Amino acid sequence: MTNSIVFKWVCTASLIAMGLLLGCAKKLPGNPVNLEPDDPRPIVSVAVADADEAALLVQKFGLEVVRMDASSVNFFADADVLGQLRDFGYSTKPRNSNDVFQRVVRMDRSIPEAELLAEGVRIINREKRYLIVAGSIGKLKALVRRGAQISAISDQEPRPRQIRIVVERTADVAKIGAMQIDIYSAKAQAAKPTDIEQGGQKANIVVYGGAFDDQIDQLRKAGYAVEILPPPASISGGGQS
Amino acid sequence: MNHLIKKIQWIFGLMLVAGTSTAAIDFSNYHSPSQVDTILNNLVATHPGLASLTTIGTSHQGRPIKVLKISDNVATDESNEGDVLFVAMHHAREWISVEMALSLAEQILTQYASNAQLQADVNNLEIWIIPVVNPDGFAYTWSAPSHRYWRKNRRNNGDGTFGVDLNRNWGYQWGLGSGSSGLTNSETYRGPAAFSEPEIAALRTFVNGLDNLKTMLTYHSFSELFLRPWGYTVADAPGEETLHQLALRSINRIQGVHGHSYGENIWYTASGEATDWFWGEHRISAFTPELRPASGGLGGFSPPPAQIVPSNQENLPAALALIHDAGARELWMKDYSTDSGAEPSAVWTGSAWSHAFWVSPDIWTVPATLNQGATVDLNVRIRNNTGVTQNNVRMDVYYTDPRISLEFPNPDATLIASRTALSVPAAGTTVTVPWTVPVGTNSWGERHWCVGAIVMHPDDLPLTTQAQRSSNVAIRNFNTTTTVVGTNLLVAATNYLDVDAEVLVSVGDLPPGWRVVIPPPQRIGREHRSAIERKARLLGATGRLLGPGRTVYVPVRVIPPSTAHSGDQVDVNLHGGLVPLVAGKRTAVGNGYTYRVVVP
Repeated sequence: MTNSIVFKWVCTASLIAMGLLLGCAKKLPGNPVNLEPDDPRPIVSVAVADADEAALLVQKFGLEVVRMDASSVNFFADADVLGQLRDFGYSTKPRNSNDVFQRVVRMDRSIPEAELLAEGVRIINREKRYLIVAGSIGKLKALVRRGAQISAISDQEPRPRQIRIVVERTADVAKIGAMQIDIYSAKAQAAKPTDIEQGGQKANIVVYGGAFDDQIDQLRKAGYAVEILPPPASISGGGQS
Repeated sequence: MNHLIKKIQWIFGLMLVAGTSTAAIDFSNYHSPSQVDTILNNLVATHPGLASLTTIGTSHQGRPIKVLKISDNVATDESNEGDVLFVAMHHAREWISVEMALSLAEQILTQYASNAQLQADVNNLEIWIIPVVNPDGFAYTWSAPSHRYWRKNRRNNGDGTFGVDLNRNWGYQWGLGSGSSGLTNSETYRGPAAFSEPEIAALRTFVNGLDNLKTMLTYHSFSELFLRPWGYTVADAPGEETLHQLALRSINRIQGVHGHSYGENIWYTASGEATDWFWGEHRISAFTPELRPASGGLGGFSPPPAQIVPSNQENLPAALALIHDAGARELWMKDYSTDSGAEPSAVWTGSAWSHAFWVSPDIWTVPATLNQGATVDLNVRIRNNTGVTQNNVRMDVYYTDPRISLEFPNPDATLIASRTALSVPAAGTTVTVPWTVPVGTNSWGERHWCVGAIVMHPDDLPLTTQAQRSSNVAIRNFNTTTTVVGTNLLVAATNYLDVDAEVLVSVGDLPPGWRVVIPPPQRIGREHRSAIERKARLLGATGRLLGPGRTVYVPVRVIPPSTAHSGDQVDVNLHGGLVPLVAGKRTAVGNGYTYRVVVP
């Protein structure tokens, strides 16, 4: 009797342990991620004062842009173009392709979030079984070497959460917008909007928008009470789980 | 199982969407991409003399971006006519914007025969309607229920994400951190470069090819707003009063239909959006109507289909009013003595204006000789093309330092008078206001002023601040003495654009023997230091360089012929163009001075 109970207990415990082990080792859903550069050609960058100068460089020299922002243009190097740029007084800097090309991937939780952030990886969303993270292929390679599991998001793109925030001033709406929140609507409920615009008086302005988890973190850090709403019924079947 | 039921419901929903017969468009439900195509084809087939359908380019995935042209001689490019542009569906989930574009096209075409005013407007204009500028995104939102709220286009960003926000991809103030994102997964991802997206690049090329674009509306949803530039900052745009009047009238017209009160502000910024490019680089008035509903969450992008018709109905009068502004030219002022009222009255040839348009004969003073500190009668003649009295006319008249970059209204101008509720009979009228001539000199020490008048009527508002492109705006230069004794002049230009620009100054025709010397701008050396110099060199620009908000003074010397005597005089027309240092088409804004110079 006792032996039988002990035997059953041992079997159950073993099964649980195996399950846990299997669970831990379970592969992330999704296909493998290609962490090689998208293009083998060398990339260089040139500093610019603003986006207009960047656009003029592209127009003048036909640069094949990889990525541009208001302070630099990253493009595929071409000996002729580099010479012409030098003639115009521009100096270029070689870029490591591993730093330029990025991936958005699923990642297991084997590495603590704080360490991921310290590595320069951005946590876009926290899903039930994994994180959605964005990072350069160089950083992602380093994390994989440390044991992180990653997989492709395929057609399951990260979806912003539907959020609702009630604020008192239009300046708060501007601040939320400046955090690149996709604002669906912002309407004053307690006063006429014209009063708010002219007098800056307090009112309840209800802001609906779409935000990823990293943005929600940012909003909460800035002191906003963020309510996460369910998606409309018609789309609840898709997306990340 | 639930998923399957949803899919069946979705397919069933597609089958229920509105029909596409050749009769009136059925707006009882949203139209799928193929139905939109059918409707456009049917509109052209039903109105072959008025409507044509062409393609301005293709999307990332190769879908055509179609434009419906409406005009009386639709097969002919009538370059003398003004152009008006309507665009919808920058954002894929905003289906109701497509319905508005289709409804607008249908209303113009079906009302043409019976609505004399609209017929005249259509005959005077070329109207362009692009119902779907984001065809890939639009198709994607119709491909599965879970895609319904997709916003961007379908660029493969290469990192696992898709899409660029097409209304953050325009080149004016593109790339600012506030109001757009550099992160590919973001709903407001601005793209890897300005105009990187084929959809927006195609639209820019199309717009640059229009001869005389007057105004542009880009329909979005939702929030019930009627937005005007700027989008990238909360600050007022130059010409704010002009834009505000146009927006206000539109809001009133919208409200007049079903009582919905559209707002004017969103309280946050959006950089790289369409209207900023149209206004900022080209001074083409542009607006963003945000359609129904007034507020809500994500579901606001799919209002019940019963909202389509009232949304279309309430936005129609505002659109037709802008079309009328562009085509009518009912109340107007001459820019020069032979001006017929045609817009533009002058064009930039690359180095000068085709006519000196800052010499309006419809603005004058009594007495003609101005003494500083004296109060004179300032007269503005308002002409009337309608044949009947026009009531409720407003006239604003300003004075300011003359500047070749001048526009009216502008933040530096001083309002002399504003007259409202004026009646302008068929023969026209002259409005007289008192003007106390400023004591002292203008900013650079001359007794030389510029007066600008703006005429507004609820059915005829100026669509731009540029006198040469709006017959509702006129400019006249005044010297506070009738002449400038001496031969050394100074020309000023202020850059009211928010981008770097070059200033080009030239002189008009002079009598034989007279010369004007304008010193060339400082040559940009190989070791150019500043960003503006680098941009100028990339463009081969030859003018004086001027950053945003800055003013430059150009010394000009008039050299009389050797046979000239003291007291001989000549009118010197100095032309000025302010041309932005940007890629693509560079549109000059500006005007000039007329000095009457007396040999000392």
